[in-house]
Amino acid sequence: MKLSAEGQAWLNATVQRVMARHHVAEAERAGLHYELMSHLHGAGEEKARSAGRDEVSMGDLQAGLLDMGGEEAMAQAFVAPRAKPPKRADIVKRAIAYLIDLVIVFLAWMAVAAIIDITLSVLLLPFGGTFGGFDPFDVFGSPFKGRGFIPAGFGLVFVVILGYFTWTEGKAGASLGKRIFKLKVVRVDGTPIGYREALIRNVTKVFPPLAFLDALFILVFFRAEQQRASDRLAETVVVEE
Amino acid sequence: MAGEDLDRWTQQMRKGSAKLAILQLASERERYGYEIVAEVRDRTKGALQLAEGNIYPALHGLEAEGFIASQWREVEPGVPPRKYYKLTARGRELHERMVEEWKEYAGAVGRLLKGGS
Repeated sequence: MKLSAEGQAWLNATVQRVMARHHVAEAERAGLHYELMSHLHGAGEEKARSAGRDEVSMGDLQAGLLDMGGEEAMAQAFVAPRAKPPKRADIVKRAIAYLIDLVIVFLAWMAVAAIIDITLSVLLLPFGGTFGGFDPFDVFGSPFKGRGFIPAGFGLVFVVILGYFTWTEGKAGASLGKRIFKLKVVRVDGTPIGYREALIRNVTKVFPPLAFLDALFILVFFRAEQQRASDRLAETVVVEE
Repeated sequence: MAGEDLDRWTQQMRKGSAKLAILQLASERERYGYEIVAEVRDRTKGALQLAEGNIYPALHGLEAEGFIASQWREVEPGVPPRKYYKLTARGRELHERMVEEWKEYAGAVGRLLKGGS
């Protein structure tokens, strides 16, 4: 039996909402998605048939969902039994992932700094500027040192670190270091995080000693949840995929 | 109190018959998930209701054990595909033996309830 375009869109959106209510392992998602789509469509089809129509409408699907007790009940019936409480990530893996991330950001920042430095040097040449101001070991200030362009150039590396973590985790739930260990940041309820959570939980990472203090909360206060203080604030946890 | 006990007992009895119901329907022809739920409900006039959350795990279990085989099939363009289930040779054998057992058991319980003579 045909399905109206409106019904199709509603079906898709509804199934996605139902699935998002629980954390399901990546490998099971596709199968479950198909199953839910097929089942809910079957319920709607029955409604349409008993009403003597030959196309399943959005209303039929909604009536079918209501018979099952609504989205929450459907999630309880279909998704919850397949949901696995995600395993909390090992603290050592998290620490190593963080160090790897810092190295990645450090190297990338050096490359960017070098490019900025050389570009500025070339541009400043006609005005008496010189090459060779780039100091690879002075990551904080090198591109702008002594030029008076941005006296606060020192702070730029903080922005770069925070930007890196916020972008990678907000977009896909994992920084490059986390990917290596198959770690993922999710909300406490298991659903994916967004840029907001990524920003909040990564502020302390710009300054390693601060990140260390933040991580101490895992050992002292939030052992069961394995949350840093800023994880607590962002309502996030790191899990193993 | 008696109501609760009765509920629990009925629930256990239904749970035991769910597997038979699935095998029975799949033995008749290929079936998809929702169809099994609807057919069981209609045929037993609602006396037997497979819980929606149980049907798919039960199907997956039967498939993993090799009693049924499945195939995703495109029904119509724009309509979600359906997974059709049918019995394997092993499933057919299991089904036949379950039906025999069931008849024997139902007969025995019937004789028991009729009382001695």
